[in-house]
Amino acid sequence: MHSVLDKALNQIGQIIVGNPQALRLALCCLLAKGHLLIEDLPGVGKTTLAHALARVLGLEFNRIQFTSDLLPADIIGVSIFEQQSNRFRFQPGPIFASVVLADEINRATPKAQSALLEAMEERQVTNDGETHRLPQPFFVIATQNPRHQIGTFPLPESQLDRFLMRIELGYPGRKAERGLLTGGDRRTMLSDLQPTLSGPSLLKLQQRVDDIRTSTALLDYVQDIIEATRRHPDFNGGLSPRAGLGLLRSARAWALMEGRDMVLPEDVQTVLEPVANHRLQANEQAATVADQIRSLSQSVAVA
Amino acid sequence: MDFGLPTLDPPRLDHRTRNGFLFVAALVAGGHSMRIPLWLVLIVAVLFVWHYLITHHAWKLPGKMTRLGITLVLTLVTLKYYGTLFGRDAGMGFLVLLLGLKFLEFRTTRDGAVIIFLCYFLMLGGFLFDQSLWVSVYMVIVAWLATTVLIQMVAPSGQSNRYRLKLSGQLLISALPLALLLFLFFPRIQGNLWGLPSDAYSGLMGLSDSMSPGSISNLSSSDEVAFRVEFEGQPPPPKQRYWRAIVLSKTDGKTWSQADRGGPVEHRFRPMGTPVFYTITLEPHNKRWLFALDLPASQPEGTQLEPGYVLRAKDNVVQRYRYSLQSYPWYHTGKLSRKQRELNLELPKDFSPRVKNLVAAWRANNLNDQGIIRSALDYYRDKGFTYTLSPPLLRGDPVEQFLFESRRGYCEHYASSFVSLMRAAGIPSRVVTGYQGGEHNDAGNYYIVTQADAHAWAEVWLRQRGWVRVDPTAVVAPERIEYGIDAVRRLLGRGTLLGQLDAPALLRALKLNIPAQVWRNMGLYWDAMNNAWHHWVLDFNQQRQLKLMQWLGFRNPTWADLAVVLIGGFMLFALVVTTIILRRRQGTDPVVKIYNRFCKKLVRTNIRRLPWEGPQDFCNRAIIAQPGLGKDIQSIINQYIDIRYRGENDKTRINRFKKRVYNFRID
Amino acid sequence: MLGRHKLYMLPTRLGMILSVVLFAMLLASVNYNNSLAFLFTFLLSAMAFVSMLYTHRNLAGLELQAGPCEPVFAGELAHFTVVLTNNSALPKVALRLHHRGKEVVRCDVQAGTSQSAMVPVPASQRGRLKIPEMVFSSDFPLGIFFSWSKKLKLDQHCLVYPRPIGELPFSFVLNRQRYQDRGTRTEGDDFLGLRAYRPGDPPRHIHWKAVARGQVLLTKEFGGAGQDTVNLDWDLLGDMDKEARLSQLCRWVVDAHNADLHYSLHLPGINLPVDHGDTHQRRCLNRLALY
Repeated sequence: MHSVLDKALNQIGQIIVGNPQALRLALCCLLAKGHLLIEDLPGVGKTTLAHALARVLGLEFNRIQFTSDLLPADIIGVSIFEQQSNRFRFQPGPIFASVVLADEINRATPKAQSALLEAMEERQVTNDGETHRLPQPFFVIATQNPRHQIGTFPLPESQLDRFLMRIELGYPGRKAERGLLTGGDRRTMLSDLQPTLSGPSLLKLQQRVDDIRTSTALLDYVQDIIEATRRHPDFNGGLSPRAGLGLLRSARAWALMEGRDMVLPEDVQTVLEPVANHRLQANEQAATVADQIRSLSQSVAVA
Repeated sequence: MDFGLPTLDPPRLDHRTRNGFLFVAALVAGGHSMRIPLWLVLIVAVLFVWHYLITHHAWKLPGKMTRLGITLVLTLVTLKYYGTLFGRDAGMGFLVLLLGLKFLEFRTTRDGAVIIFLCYFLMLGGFLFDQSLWVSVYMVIVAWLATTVLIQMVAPSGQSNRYRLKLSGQLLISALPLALLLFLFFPRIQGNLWGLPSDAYSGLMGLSDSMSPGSISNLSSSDEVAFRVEFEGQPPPPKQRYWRAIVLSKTDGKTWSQADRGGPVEHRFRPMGTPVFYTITLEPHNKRWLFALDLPASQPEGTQLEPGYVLRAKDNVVQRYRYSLQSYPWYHTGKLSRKQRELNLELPKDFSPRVKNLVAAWRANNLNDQGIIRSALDYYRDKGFTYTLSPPLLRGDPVEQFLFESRRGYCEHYASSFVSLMRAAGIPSRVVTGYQGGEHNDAGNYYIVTQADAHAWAEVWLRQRGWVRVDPTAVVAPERIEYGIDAVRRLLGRGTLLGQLDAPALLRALKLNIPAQVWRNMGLYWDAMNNAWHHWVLDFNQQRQLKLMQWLGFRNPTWADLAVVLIGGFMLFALVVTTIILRRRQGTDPVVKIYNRFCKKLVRTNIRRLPWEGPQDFCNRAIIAQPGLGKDIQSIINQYIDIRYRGENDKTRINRFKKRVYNFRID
Repeated sequence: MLGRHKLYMLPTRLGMILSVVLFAMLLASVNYNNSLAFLFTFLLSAMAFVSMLYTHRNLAGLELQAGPCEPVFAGELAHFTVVLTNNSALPKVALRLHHRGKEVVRCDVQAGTSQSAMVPVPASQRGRLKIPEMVFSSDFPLGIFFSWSKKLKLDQHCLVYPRPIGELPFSFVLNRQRYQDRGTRTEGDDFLGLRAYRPGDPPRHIHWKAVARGQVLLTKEFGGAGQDTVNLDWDLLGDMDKEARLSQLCRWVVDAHNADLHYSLHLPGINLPVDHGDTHQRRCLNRLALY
């Protein structure tokens, strides 16, 4: 694995214990210039993860707590009338940061949600006809409580497509839980983290993702996978072309993290589940989407 | 129903593409910069820089009226300078100007294409001036770049520069067979379509048809090739390598010129000994004369022998001309007609009495003709005459001045004064000009005769032997004859007196140091390559085309036959190129078959690859299950990954992989 | 699949200009009887000829499929996705997609990959919008030959919903039904969001802060006191013609969905029971589009 990324992951791994794969996927998503959706119960460390990621990568971090009375202006910012200059001046909102944690996104109204999602998609914000570019890199981590909780506005399917990956942190294992219970205070540990990367070097890494080779054989495989999702009887509709592109990008980023200069089918298999699980809807009688995806990837032959 | 789809803006030319255009245009205009006046070069350079600034500072292109004004003024200036806008020199100058002006209205892709096409035409224009190998290589590279820029304009995004360079290279290379076919079989017409403008062959240098002091020493510094000679068999020694071209019998005391034509042609002579066979490739000099070793005994087709045993072409030689000859170094020319005798004894009326007295003194010693010749040569040897490349200017009677006062001169001084002496003594004699010597090129096994080898010598008529060549220069500067003009230049440059050193000392003095030797050899190799280039490409003409057709089996080839060959060849070319270019590049991957065979071999050790298992996962699993085979499995699968997933699928790699799998055994 | 038999080719205007230049070059070569000039002229002519094959190759073996298209409302642009698949081992460069001589897409497709491109088509009428016939072309590499495919009919539709306009505000239905069903009702106190002000909105719901900032009038929407249930009924709009009714119903469906209400839709012969959410909205809009 890439040594700088390795170091960063090690550092975060000391704080978020018990689920190294989720950490790696989160980093992979960032390298692939995508946005991340974490779906889990409160208190499993979503906020800490976002915070730690921003700190280790040396990026600016903002947190937006989504509530039902959150207005779009609370996210993107407002124009304020300035008496001296007799003009409106744009006051950037909390979205102007490299890592933005949108906490409990399903608690806000669809209006507020779509303001965030539009900014994510376009990487810019338009206010009063003026366009403001968001910083580079720009990475949104949204957290969402599972849907069966009361008083929430679940994100519509079309909006879910804007997130490159969705991961679950889950409860830590017994051993990891013990570490949590006996170890130091997470907040102090957070502030002790040393940045191993910086914005510009992260951008460079993101560019290197583009240089990872994808042979025709691999592209054939990716297309086979995508077509399989479209044909699969247990899903309502398959992966969109946008999702396909996201899958390939994520596989590239994963290959970079594995220290390779080309993508292997294994990389595609690894990132398929987080990339596809929020985009595919299983029929009622089917088992969980994750299981479905696993069986699907085993139905496509690798040559 | 019209959907009223929104249309895209026409593609815009970005900075990088425009820079490419400027680069190519600068290369093309630069190729012409030596031939067009400096002010024009500067104007075009300013136009290029202007366009560069316009694109890089997002300035506006000049308006229509400004453009029109600039164009009109510059065209008039050019017209005033050249007097015309047509013909080779003025035409190319004008086109270079147009190339610069086109950048002022370079907006659309069509303007861009016109710029490239103009560049193509200017490259062709370059060939009208210079067809050397050097220029050709330069032009091919520029044409390649120009085509690349054209491709970049058509497809501005998405592909790398390397891809575009490769593609335009491919285009040019795949066009080569068809170009050769057309080159060989496109009907050639001898002659011109509309008559050549007067400037077509200006700037060619060489001998002139008269000789006055200084006319040959002008050439002594020019390394331009006059002609090249290939000998069949043993080449004659240096002192026999006199290439005659012009016989000068008339003089007014200063200038020597050819006699008027008329009288019977005295081209018969009695050859003695064995002849020398050789082929001359003459560089165009825009004159009729051809060069031949003393004395030519054959007459190639299209040439004629004229008085003085000189060979003439039917028309001025404006293209490289190749002819084969046979000469006899030893000969007897027989009797001299009365008319000829009178012609070759003529002296100006006011001929110097001082010279007459000198000759009279020799005669008084009752010497015969040969004795007189010897006395004259002794006079040069003993009275302090020196050979110099920069003779002093002579006033008054040049012969008298030279013989009694300056005593420093070049071959033309010696030849003309010697002939004057002989005529004063009543011996028929004349001046011959041409070239002497020639340098051997080991790389091509031929002799190069340059303009610097231009020479003048004398011929005297003796009753017993007919015309005999006498070279008074050889008395003063034997090195000139034995080692060539280059040796003389080097010796004089070092301050060595000519005619003083013995042979070993001379050789030592002439030995080159190693860098100079290497430089000289490189020059010779380059000349040999150029010569081959000339022979095989540039000199292809109607006759050679005719021969080629005859070789193909057409007895009396007509234009219709050429058309048949052209069309047949074209169809063959189209068939071959179409199959190559349009072949489908896909199909089942043989690499996968080899990999499957490898997996089958592993089944025997109870490792079965799952159909969805990627190569790396399979490799890891197999190594854990069969640590003994770990190394082999690892290396084979790594090869497979490199070929199939890293895209390094060249033939040698695939073959190596195949062999490796084939040799893989489980014991 | 664009087979070989389906491609056409003609020289472009640039090709014509080049042929004139080449002819001039040939004349100059003949006149000066210059071998190298001949060779150069022939080389360029041969290159122009060979480029024809490259132009053909650049389009041969290209596969075109239409992807799905997100439904749109009438009056919007439908974005059809077309997927270009390059099965060959060479990149396809400077491709253009035309409709009736108008260029709508320009793209390159790398070797062995697919490239999707969006073709925007104005959707003027509700119903099914067929993807227009497309023509592919390219003048790669030298711009002197232009090759194009025959008109390609693609099997893809876009669903176009009625234009969501209508003079009657949503409150019209709400109010009528509230009075009809349950008498007066509070509007609830959960903030739903903002929408443009419509005449008749209660002043206390106007977002005054925004007005103070000089923005347009916005109305705060509230809801959530229990579930609102609305019946969107064809018969509510007695005196309108068919299209106007569909547009009105469409607007209501959109409004109801945005307010996250539970609603039902009744058209003659069609009854969609009370429900809410994306799927329900889509189902309702489909019916309106195809009615």
